[in-house]
Order: sequence, then structure tokens, then C-alpha cells
Amino acid sequence: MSRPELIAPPEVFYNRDEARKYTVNSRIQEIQAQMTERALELLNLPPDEPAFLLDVGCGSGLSGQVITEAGHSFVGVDISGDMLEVAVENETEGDVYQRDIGHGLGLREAVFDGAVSISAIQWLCNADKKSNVPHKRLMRFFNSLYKCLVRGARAIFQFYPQDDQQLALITNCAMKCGFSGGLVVDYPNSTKAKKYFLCLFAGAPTSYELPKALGEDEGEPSEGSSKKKFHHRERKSMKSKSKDWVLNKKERQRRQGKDVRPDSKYTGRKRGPKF
Amino acid sequence: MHLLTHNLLQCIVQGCRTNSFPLRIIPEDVQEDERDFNQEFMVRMLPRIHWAALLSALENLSIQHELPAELPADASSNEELLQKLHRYLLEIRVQQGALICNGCGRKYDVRQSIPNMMLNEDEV
Repeated sequence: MSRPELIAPPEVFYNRDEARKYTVNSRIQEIQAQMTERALELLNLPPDEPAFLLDVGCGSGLSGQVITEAGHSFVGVDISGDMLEVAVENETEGDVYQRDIGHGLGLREAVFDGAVSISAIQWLCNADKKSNVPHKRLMRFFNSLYKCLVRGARAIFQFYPQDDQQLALITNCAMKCGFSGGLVVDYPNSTKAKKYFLCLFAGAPTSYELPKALGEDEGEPSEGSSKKKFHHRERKSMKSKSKDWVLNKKERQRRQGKDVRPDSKYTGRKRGPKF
Repeated sequence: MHLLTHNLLQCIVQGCRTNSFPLRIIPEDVQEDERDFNQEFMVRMLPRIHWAALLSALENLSIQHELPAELPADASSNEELLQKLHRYLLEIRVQQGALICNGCGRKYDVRQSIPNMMLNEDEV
């Protein structure tokens, strides 16, 4: 996977060219739209009520489009001025402003019904400059976010954590700032479709339960390692292209959330002799 | 930047404690969009609007308004008032200009309707 955050700071990386490329690329558009839809689903807003949302790292307004289509209003914040200019040119419905979220959002208290963020907070963990301390930046961001949300609101962050350490750093900072909640991993068995959503609750709602991830097995995650070993042994003994092998592969792809044809009596059958 | 967004933005430069809200608007180019009126949304936003900040923003833009000095108690059922608020908050847009903090004097530019709220490292 390419990691733009390892190449340059966001305000430098998302320059004029990159901003245009990003917005016209139909694959990126589709993925962003899908992830935003999922994030809105996880936000669990009351149905048929227009909500006021904050889009953190709104960029060129791809996620904003989805929010508007869902009938909500939003305010977007991003560090890249070029990305925001594209957003304004595309006439996004919501307002945008330019700011480094690691410096705090600079918004008044208790105004937003929720916050969504698509592929943005991993940028906060960058230490591009000597003055950039990831921990401090995350704390400032989560503190200001907590303040500007109404009590009981949710904030959903889709992001690509680099490693477990980074994941722990982000969640710890959020918890320290008063958020509760946790991580939802969609399609945990797939490398490609796997998506991390950090679901945070501002203020303690009377009862909450983490939303269920998509494409997840019934098994406990702790069983994962033993299962893997079992698979490994099984695959070794299984003859390649045999019926069991095919069924096993289809099952695996189903777990990864891929589009797989249903099993039938023809599955894995040998084709007849040709003349 | 519409006035609804102006109603949220606050100066958080280090050491700026008093008068950091609302920011004073120095308008250069003000335009008006036309947008659909959504009554449900306006009613929902009513308690979250900082009334004094809205009035001062309208004053900065030298817009004649007939809004009362305080948010009336029956505002949510007063459609005429909601229509007016819709126009002031969501249709009037500052295209070019600047925002100035009344507390510390920090100036934020507004270019192409985007307020630039970026801070220098020493201001955080």
C-alpha cells in the first residue's frame, strides 16, 4: 500500500496537481464515497433529521458530497489550501476552512451533531518538523473535537494505521480526552478490503454498544492465531484444485467480502474430456 | 465563508484568552447565494447560534437587519424569522476579506471564500 504520509507533509503533498488528480480519479472517488457512507452508518444519527456534521480532513469535498446527499449539512476543515480550492470550485454545499487540526480546531463549544473523517488522522502521527510531537498534536485535536461536539455525539474516523503502536497512540489520546468507544474493523480477514473505523462517543451515553463490523466471522479474535495454524496444516495436505481446495478458497474469499458465486454440485468438478 | 461558519470560528492563539470570539469581519467582497430553505435544520440550529456574534457579524458587513436584540423564545415557530436567519446564516457569503481577533489582533485572511486559520508554530 502506498503511504503518502511518508512522502511529505500534507500541505506539501496535496498540492495543486495532486488535489486535481485526487478529485478526478474515479477509483478514489468511489472508495471515498463508500467509506463515507459507512462512516455515516456508524454515526447512527436519528433517521430523517438533518444533522450538522464536521468533516475533518475534508480535502476536495468528496466525502462532503455524500454527506449532502444524505440530507445533512457540514463544515469541513483541511490543511491543504489547494484541496480546499478544488472543493470551492466544485461548489460543495458546506463551508470549508483551512487549518492544521494538530493545532486544535478553533471552534465554539457544543455545535456539531457528529464528526466524520476519512483517511486523515494518520497524518497527525507524522513528525515532519522538530516541533511536531504526534502525542501533543493528537491531544490538542481530540480535546478541541470533544469540546465542539454536543453531548452524546459520535465521531467516526476511517484511517490506515501504520502499526499497532500508532493505533494504540491514537486510541489512548482519544480516551484521555474523554471519549469512549473503540475500533471497528470491517473485513478483518482481507488485506485489501480491510478498513479501520475508530468510533468515538463524546460524553457518556446511557448505554452504547460498538457497531458490528462487516464481513466478520463469528469466532473470537483471539482464536485467530490457532485458526491460522489449522488452515496452514490443512492447506498443505489438500491437493491443489481438488474440490475441497476450491470450496475452501471460496469460503476464504467470502470472508474477505468478495463477490463469490454460490456453491453448487458443479463446483470443483472436472470438465469432461474434449475431442 | 457563510455567517454560520463565522458563528463557530474562534481564535485560539496561545495567550489569547478574552474577546477571542466573535472574530471581527473586514469585508472586501460579499456575495449572496441562493439555497433551499430547510426549516427543520434551522430549528435544530437555533439553540446553537451565538446570537450576539450573528448581530455583530451583520453589523461588520453593514447589512440592515430587523433582528431582535435577543433570540425570541417563540423563534422555532416563527417562520418569518427562520427565513430571515436562513438568509443571513447560509446565503450571505464573504468571498474576500479578513477576520480579526478582538482580543489579540491576529488577522486571518479570507480568500476565495476560504478562511485561512493556519497558525505558526509559536502561536500554538
